Order: sequence, then C-alpha cells, then structure tokens
Amino acid sequence: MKALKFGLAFLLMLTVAVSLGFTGGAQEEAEKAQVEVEHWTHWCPNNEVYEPFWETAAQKFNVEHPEADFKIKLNCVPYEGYEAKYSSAFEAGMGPGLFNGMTHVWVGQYDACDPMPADIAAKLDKILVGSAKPYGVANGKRYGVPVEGGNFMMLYYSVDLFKEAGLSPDKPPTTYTELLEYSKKMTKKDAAGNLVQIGFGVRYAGHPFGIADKAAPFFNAWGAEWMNWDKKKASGYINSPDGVEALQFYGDLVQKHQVSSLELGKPSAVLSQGLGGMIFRESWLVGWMAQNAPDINYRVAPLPRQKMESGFGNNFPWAINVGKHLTEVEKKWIWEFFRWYVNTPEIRKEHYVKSNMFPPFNDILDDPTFSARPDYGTWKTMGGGRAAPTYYIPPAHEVLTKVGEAVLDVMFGKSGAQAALDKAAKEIDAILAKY
Amino acid sequence: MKQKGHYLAKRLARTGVFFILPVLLYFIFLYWYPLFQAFEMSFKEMLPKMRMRFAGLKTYTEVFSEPLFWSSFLNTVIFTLISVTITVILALVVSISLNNLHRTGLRNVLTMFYITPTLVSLAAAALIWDWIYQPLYGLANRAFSIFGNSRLFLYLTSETQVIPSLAVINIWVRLGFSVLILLSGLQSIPETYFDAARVDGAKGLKLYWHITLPLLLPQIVVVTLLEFIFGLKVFDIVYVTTQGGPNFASHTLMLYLYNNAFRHYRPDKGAVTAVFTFVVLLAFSVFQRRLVARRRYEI
Repeated sequence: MKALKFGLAFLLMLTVAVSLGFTGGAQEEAEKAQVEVEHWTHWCPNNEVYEPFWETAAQKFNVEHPEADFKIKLNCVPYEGYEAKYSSAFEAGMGPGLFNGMTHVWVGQYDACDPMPADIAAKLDKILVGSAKPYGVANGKRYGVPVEGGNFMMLYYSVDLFKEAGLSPDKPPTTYTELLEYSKKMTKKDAAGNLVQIGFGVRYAGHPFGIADKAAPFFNAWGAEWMNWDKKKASGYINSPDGVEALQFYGDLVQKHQVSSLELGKPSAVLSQGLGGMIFRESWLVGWMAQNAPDINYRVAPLPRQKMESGFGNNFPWAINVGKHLTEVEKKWIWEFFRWYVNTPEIRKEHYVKSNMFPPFNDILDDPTFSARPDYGTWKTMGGGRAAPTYYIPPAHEVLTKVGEAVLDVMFGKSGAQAALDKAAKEIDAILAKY
Repeated sequence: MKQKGHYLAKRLARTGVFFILPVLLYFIFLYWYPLFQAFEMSFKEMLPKMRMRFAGLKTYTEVFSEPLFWSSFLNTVIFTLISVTITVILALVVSISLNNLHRTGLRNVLTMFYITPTLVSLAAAALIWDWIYQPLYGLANRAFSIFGNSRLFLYLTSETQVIPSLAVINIWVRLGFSVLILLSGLQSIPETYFDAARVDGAKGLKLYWHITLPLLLPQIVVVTLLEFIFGLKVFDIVYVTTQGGPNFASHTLMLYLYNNAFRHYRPDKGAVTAVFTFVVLLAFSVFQRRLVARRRYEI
C-alpha cells in the first residue's frame, strides 16, 4: 500500500513536472518577439538592391537572434511625391517604422524620429567616413544611419566626347574656367542652330530645391554661402559679390556661352544618352549607369575649383531613420537590429557590394569592389578635402526653393544674378525669421 | 384616417433618413469635415514641429503677396480656358457627327475610339505625351522634321509652348467623356421637333442652331462646368511632365498647393490655396447655374 502511494505520488509529480516543462516551452515560444516594421523608401529606383537588402538582413538577424521573429517589409514609394506620403502619415501619427529621409527635416519640422541609442551612435561615429558623419544627425543628436559614402557632387565626364573634341580624358578640367573651355569644344549645333550636343548638363527642370542643389558647387567654388543659420540671415551671404559672380557664371553657361541646354534633359539623361560631355552628380550614379547605360564610357573626377575647392557637402543627406511613434517593443527590436548591423562588418560589406553603392563605413572599404569603382579616387580626394557649407536646418526645403527660383530666373535669362539673389535673400530672411 | 396618413408620412420620412444616412455620413466625414478643417487651418500659421497657432489673415496675406501664387493662378486659368473651349467645341462636333451616323455598329466603334483615352490614367497619359513631345527624339518633332527643322516645336521645354502642349494632353484625355455626355443628350432629343421645324421650312445649320443647340444646352452646361472644374484642379499631368517648369511657366494652382503643403511643410499655405480654389469654383458654378436658368426661360 505504501509502495502504491509512493508510486502514485511519484507519477503525480512526474506529470506535473512534464506538464510544467511543456507549458514553459510553449510560453517560451509565445514570448518569442514578433515584430514586423514597414520600411518606406523612395530610393528603390536609384538602386535595385540597396533597399530590398534590409528585408534579407532582418532574416539574417533572426538567425543570430533566435529569440526574435523580426521582419522588415519594404514599401517602395515613388520618388516624386514621397514627401506627401511621409508627411501625411506622420501628421496622422501613423508613419512607417523605418524610412529613408533627411533627418534634419523630419526631426526639425515633424519631430518624427526616435533618437539612436548612445552605444550604436558611438559605434557609428567610429566607423563612418568623414563626409557621411553629419548625415542622420539633427540638433547635434544622432537619429539615422547614413545611406551613402559618396553623397556629394562629383564631375562625371564622357571619355568618347572628350576624345572626339580633341581633349585628353586623362586631364579633366580642374577649374571652372577650364570647364567652360572644354564645354565650348564639345558643344554642337545642327543646321537650324539647335543644340544637339552640349558641353555641360545643367539641371533646369523639376522642383526648385533640386535645381538649387545642382547649382551649389558653383557657389561653393566661389566661396559664397547661402545664409547664416545662427544669425538667421541670408542677406549679405547669398547675394554677396562672390555669390552673384558664381550664379552669373552658371547662368552664362546657358544664356551667353550656350554650352548648356534647357531642352535636352536632366544631367543624368544627358550623360547616359551621349548628349553631353560633363555633368555633376553623386556617387549613386555609378550604380545607375551600370544598370541603365552600360555602354557609355565615362570617368569621374573631383569637382573643379575656382576661388577655392568646391568641397564635399550636399543638400540631401539621406539616412535610414526610425519612427518615434512606434511601441517600445518595436523600437527595442529595431534598435537591436541596427546594433547588430553596425557591429557586423560582414553584413554591411555584403549590403554595399551587392548594391554597388559607395559605403559610408570606413571599416569595409578594403574590399576591391569599392576600390575598383570609377569614383573611388575622386571620393578619396574630395572626401579628404574641404567640407563645403551645408544647410541641414528644419526649413531646408523652403529655403532651397527660394535659391532654386533665383537660379531658374538667371538660367532662363529673366533676371541678372544680382537682382535674383537680392530677391532670394529677402525671401529667405523672412523664412528664417520664424525660427 | 387623416391621423393615420400623417403617421405613415412621418414613418416614411424617418425611413428615408435611414436610406440617405450612409451617403450623408460619407459626405460629412469625407467632404464637409475636411472642408471645415481647411477653412480653419487657413487662419492659422505653421510653426516648427507640427505646431500651429491662430494667425488671422496673416497666411492669406503671405500667400496673396507671392507673385508665384498669382502666376500659378494665371497659368491655371489660361490652361483651363484653352482646354474647356477646345474640348467643348470638339466634343460638340464629334458627337453631332456620331449622332448623324445611321449605322449603329460603326457609331459604337467610333465612340469607343473617342472614349479609350478617357480610360487611360492621367499619369500614364502624361508619360505617353512626354515621350511624344521630347524635342530631340519625340514622335511629334520627328513627324514635323519633313518640314526641314528637326525641332520645330519645343513643347514642354518652352516657356511659351508648355501650357498649350499640356492643354492638348488634357483635351486628348477628356474629349471622350464630353462626347459621351453630349451624344446621350443628342439621342434624347425627339425627332418630332426636327420634323416640325422642317415643315416650317428650316433646314441645314438652322436646324442645329434653333433646335439642337438650345435643347442640348443643359448637357453643354454640364460638360463646360465639369471641364472647368477639372481644368482648374489640374495636377497629375503637370506633375508628371513638367513639375511646373520650365521656369514656373506651367506652375498651376494645385501644384502651388501641393508643393507648399507637402514639400515645404506649409499646410497653412496649402489650406489658403484650397479655400481660394473652392471660392472660385463655387462662384463659377453659381454663375453658370443662373445663366442656364435664364437661358431655359428664354427657350
């Protein structure tokens, strides 16, 4: 009887232990963090691999973090109109988990980004190349992961058109005066006087802030700044004698010298269709040319100088940001994912090698894929040179629009550079006065 | 008995309310509420970090003192006038011609041809025409090159040609819709009116002038009004093809609204533009309705 009681008690204990064990397992399964975030990006047309790779990276992250079931769902937004989608969503408090955007705008105007945990920010600051360090930062605080190491204008030129004009492809223009001379040699007109081939492709269509962006290297090379954010002033800066001279030179390419066209298309189209000898664009164009114009024989060189180096710097510092409106659990796992990403050089290298993009990280640059790129030497020269002025301020779009309007006025011969910039200075002063 | 009838009428009215309730709610939440919000927002000014404060007429003053606002309005009006005039006249000619076809099969096939562009999305239509208009390789200039000049027109890249070029796209897209409305109007005119007029000695153009046009007036007014509203709200084709360029020559009111509200993060200025557009459209609609009422009386 005693043995039977003992046996029953043992069986009971065993049953309890087994059931507890099973429950524990089920609980563990239930506690596996299931987080899915949407990643909104307008960058898909720029590069077919870079953004989709985030989905793959999340799967690799899960392999190393079995406690998580973390998913990134890509949402490719058309480039034209992405601001409308983002701003509407953020205003409604329903923005994406991750998004590719300019941090200074989305923090400054919408307070939409979650600040990056200190340890990830510190690691990023160690591994970021110098030119990319300011991207993803607002008010001195890091929010986003920079997208591209060569995110500044470089000189792209057609080897074939250089040769055809009797110019040496080994000697690209080093000053803007030379750029004009070279442009004249490469420009062609048909019998009716229409430009059929141009020396230098300017941006004349699209939103004015893009037009301002493409004119920026000229202002930089003449040593002119657009404004002073601390003083909240544009008057005396953008319309300084250097600024006026720079814009007049830019406008004269179209109006006076007729080496640039207002008809043949945007700079990337001009280069990729063999219609123009030289353009300015960022390093993403290397990947784009490989996809869209593999037969064009081109090279990349540092921007010319005039009164000083044009310098690296941009107006669109793209970075991957995290939505502030997310739940604490979602934020925890997103940041855990980025902690893993920045601490895993192999995954970052795979990301940039596969996407044929110039990485913003100095610890993976030893890969021959990057040193073999046509923009590598230029990136090294310009990236180690002067930092051009940047305007990462909340009303950046509004300010750049006014600069773009002035540039258009001069390019289309509606106004001289002095009058156009005086008007822009006054309008920008009024915008800055609100901050 | 009278009491019972009254009760029935009340019950019917109550049931009627339930029938219209879904539509009523739809309009309240998706039209009237946003409209009210736009009015309210137009009296505010945007501050950093999505904050807004009451500013009275300050944003109105800011918008109305911008030359770009007025040039955008002027561009929109010119675009609308060209589009509406040509669309209505062409639609009238096409619908009368189609109505005169006695072979129904042929009429249906031709009507389909005219309607097809209307089925194309505006963005797709804009892209098609963007290729046609390309000055160097485009189909249009290739066709005109038989006259010797390979770039006879610059279309979307010329400050003077851009609005007429955009209007052509709009007409191409909208013509079928207007033809459809006018054709249905023509087919509803009883043949007896024409017979009576013929007995009185009327023939040829007189029949159209004194019978067809007066009886088709309600449809003509509807088409004009709809085309006017469509023209004044033009956005897609401009956004896809020129984004307001070259040098703001095709910058329209809706583009001004869009750029301010979403690209410059100034929804307050966008709201002012929306209110302005609403008032213009309302004024035009009221004017048109009164005109029709008077003309009907005269007929």
